[in-house]
Amino acid sequence: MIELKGLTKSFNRQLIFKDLNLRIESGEVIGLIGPSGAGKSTLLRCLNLLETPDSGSLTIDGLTYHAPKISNRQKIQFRRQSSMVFQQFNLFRQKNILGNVSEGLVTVKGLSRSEAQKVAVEQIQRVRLADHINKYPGQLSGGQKQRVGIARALSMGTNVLLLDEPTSALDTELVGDVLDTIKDVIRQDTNQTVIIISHELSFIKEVASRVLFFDQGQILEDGSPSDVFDHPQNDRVKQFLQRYQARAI
Amino acid sequence: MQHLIDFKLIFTQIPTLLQYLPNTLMITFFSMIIGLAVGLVLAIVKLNRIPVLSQVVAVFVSFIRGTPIIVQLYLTYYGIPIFLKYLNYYQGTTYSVNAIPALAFVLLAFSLNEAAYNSENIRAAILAVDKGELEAAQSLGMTRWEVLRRVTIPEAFVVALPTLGNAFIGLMKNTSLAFVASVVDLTAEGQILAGNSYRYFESYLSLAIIYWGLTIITEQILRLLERRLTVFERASELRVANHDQQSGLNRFFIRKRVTQ
Repeated sequence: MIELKGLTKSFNRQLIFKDLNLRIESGEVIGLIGPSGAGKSTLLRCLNLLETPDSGSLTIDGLTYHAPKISNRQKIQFRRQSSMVFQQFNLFRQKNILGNVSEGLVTVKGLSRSEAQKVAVEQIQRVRLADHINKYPGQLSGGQKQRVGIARALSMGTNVLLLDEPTSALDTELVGDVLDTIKDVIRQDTNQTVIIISHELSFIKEVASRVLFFDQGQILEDGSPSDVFDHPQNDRVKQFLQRYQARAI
Repeated sequence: MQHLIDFKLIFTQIPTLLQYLPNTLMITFFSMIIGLAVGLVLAIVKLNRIPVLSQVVAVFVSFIRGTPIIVQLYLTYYGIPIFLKYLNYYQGTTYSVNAIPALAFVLLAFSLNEAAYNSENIRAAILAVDKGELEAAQSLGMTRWEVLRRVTIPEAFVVALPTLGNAFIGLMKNTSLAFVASVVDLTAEGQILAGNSYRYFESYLSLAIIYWGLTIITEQILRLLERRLTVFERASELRVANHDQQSGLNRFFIRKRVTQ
């Protein structure tokens, strides 16, 4: 369960969102959509504490954090409840695929190297990259890199998976590959809460159990995919979807 | 005109000189290691703009860069005994300067010198580390220290290696100044030999050959180290070539492969 209460964040006096309230049940697959610059990424990064909110409170599975004061130890403890997939993959370029995926297991979870490798190999198989286990990120295509990013996030075994525009940096050709992987991952573990920011609206419509439309620091629409995509109430959302549909053809 | 230069002596006295090679190497290695560690700390202080400390570091680096190493050696050589006397006077302790080996003065001076120069290199290298990788490491739940140890330092080291290698070579030659603190290294021994035989030119030629040789060896080692560390960049070329060559130098370049 994730709960946000009165969450506020600004950068250099520019308000990103204010007084945000949201409750997400365990196992929900949330599609977070909306125009660029709406603050979607900032919201997601706040959940992982890569950004520190200015005020309000965050709860993930019983652990509550009241912004903004937090000790480094609490921050790490809170952060370990979720794992993140980045738009730019952010793989460790000096480590091979196995090293990338087992890194967190060894350094953070304290597993022995052989145990970590066993878990890592399982996760790498899950994203269908078992053949590339000894390669370095520089040898992989963008889509493969992102699948490693997903395996790395999964290896931590957190209840919450955060995906920040996982396909936005990819060539159109490679997008489908990554989306299929994400689809598999969601299907394989129905207990995991997933929050995914994406502009691939048809994909969101297919996999999400709940869609949030986020713009100008507010959740303008919140409901099932069919509610949001087929019967939007808010004018801003209608406008956004119309423009998207026009472009999709 | 006979025997202006004793060519034979140039080479025959090299073994005698090399008896003092361990001294030279020891000063170089220890100063470099301490210099790297302290340099890293100084770089982190500067990068995090820690109040007061970062100003102190700035003054320290400016001072070290602004004064010749030989002056710094004299300052430690004469300064530490005075400092100890003050300490003994005010704290009632009984430290004796004579208990400190001359090598310690030299190590201190060279370490501080290296720390100051390295701190700037290390700072630049740390700034070059991809922010995304740091965020990824953080998001995995690593502590600051773990991020530093597992991502920042290995990444920055590859960037800094060429400049640090140059610093190492420079330091190795600078250790020839150790004699001012009455430490006998290669150069000091060369001077002693020359003083006995009056063959100064030959003695310095022998030294030149030794230092040059040392530098060439160091360059080669650094080159190998760089190849080893940038294996991730050359992985695609290596993959084909090394697949069935598991011997000699190739083994050095290949990391352990995991098969399943």
